[in-house]
Amino acid sequence: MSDTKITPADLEAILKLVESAEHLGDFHLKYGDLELRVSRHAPPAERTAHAEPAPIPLPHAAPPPPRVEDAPPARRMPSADVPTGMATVKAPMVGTFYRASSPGAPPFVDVGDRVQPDTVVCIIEVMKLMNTIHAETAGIVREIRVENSQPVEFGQVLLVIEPE
Amino acid sequence: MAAARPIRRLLIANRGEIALRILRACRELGIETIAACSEADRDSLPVRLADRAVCIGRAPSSQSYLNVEALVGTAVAFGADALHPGYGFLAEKPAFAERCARENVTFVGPTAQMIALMGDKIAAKRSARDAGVPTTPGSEGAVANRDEIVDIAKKIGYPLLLKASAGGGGRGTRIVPRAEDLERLLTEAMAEAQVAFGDPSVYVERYLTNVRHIEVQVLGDGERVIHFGERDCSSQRRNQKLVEEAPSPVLDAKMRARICEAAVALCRRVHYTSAGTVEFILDQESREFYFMEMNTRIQVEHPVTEMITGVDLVKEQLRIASGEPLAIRQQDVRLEGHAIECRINAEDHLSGFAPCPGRVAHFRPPGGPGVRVDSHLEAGYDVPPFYDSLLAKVICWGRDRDEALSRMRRALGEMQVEGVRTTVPFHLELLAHERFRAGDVNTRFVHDVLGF
Repeated sequence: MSDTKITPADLEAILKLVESAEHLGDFHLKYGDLELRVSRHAPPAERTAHAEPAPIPLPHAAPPPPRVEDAPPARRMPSADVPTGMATVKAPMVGTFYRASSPGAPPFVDVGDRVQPDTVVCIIEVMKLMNTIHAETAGIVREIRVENSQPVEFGQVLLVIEPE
Repeated sequence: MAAARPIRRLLIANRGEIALRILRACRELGIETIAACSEADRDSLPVRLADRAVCIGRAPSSQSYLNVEALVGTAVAFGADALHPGYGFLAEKPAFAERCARENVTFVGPTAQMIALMGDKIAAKRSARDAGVPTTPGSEGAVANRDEIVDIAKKIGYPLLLKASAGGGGRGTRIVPRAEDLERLLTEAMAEAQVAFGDPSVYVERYLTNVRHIEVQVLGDGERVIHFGERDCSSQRRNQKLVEEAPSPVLDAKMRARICEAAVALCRRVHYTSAGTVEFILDQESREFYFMEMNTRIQVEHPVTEMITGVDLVKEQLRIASGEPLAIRQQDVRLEGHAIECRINAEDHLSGFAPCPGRVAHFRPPGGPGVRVDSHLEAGYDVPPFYDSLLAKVICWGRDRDEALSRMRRALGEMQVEGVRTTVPFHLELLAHERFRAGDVNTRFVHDVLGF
């Protein structure tokens, strides 16, 4: 019950209603914190997507992602086993993983690269909307667990980073 | 009608027992399944049985099963050419069906426009009237003019129901017992509606209390519509169905024909596609029936219809969504015997049906002739607190109502769920009541007679 603020307009409307009820002597309304009495006879209420405001323009038409059946269908997503002491970049949403800003462009990062928390490491595309994903950790990229243009699920480990 | 193409891979955009139901139908039709799941459902039975599982978000529904972008995005990213919304969640949200259509993912259900039409209660009633289907006596729509309401009240008689048109939740709702009470209660209802919704408009309807809830199952392929008889869902608590049965114990063949033909007339008029249910109330005083609303989805209680007709409604939905015309003719539909369904929830009926999430240590489903259990329960299953409390549907069929009833009592007696409280004891009490056994109930029975 959230809308118990009564505005002057509401009050006026209610008084008009009561006024038009010619045979009503006393009117009493209790609603939430509001109590109103009117009488004729008285003496006188992570998603944590790093979505850009506009999609990144692709210089070439992006090819459709390869059909999932081209790869032998995995029953389940790869497990999230992570060596101790390592940080991970996990998918904050379901979508398609891209390593570069467009086909033919160099990947954002490679294994062995040093990254900062605000380094863009990949894109997850959801129905043509591009979401840039950041490292969130300062360190060295040790693993990139997903291939370019593969679909990923929520929470899936994308990169493993050794923190510095 | 949706673009005709065979479905190869389908995204199950729901959870629990209905996800399992959809999976089974897909399996039988050779359709590959992807189960979309929240983090809370990763280890659930339908998710493990699906050909592929994709986690789409955190446990809360808003981040998972109500997340349109995540669900449609999953279908697109993982190459699903169709999506089944199940019931609840987004199943009757036009925007969801619309998004699927835009992304070229076949939505297993009617079109977004059809969902929107039937979701608008005023528009749905208007469609019903246009199709010659009786509707509850009352105002044609919302009325803000006091004098108009007084006129309508004079015509339709008392008791009356006043309901705010701009919102729900009981606010701006008043039951008016007699003409003398109208002025005061109407002023209250309109004032409350003004404060709650900024709009004093109300509907007026005859308030009927001795009613049964009768609903008709239909299938349409855009050109033809057929019905599969009715279900009687009068055992309710707070507008939630508890027990459903088919056929209704109080309809004779003539009445059945009238109600089912009315349902078909409405669906034909709007060229309905996929499965749907047309809901009516049957006023037991006058023996008149009135259209209430139409549900444009597969419903929880669909198994009782399947048990008495032999149809597989979910497979039929999949065929229709693939662009196949209905292969069943109305004259092929036969109602055989009697079926009853009990919805077993993880609730404590002695504590106001308070939900009881927890770990199911042990589960022994009932079995034997005429017993069907639709459930995702297993020993070791953690009932999550984020979603509804439905654990299992137990459906029993018998050659007549007495056999179905005695089978249900037998089945519930042998069913064991250890670790969480369930509504099995409540159902046993309900089924044993002499009025239920006689088929003499209305929608107030559970409250007025059983006291729940």
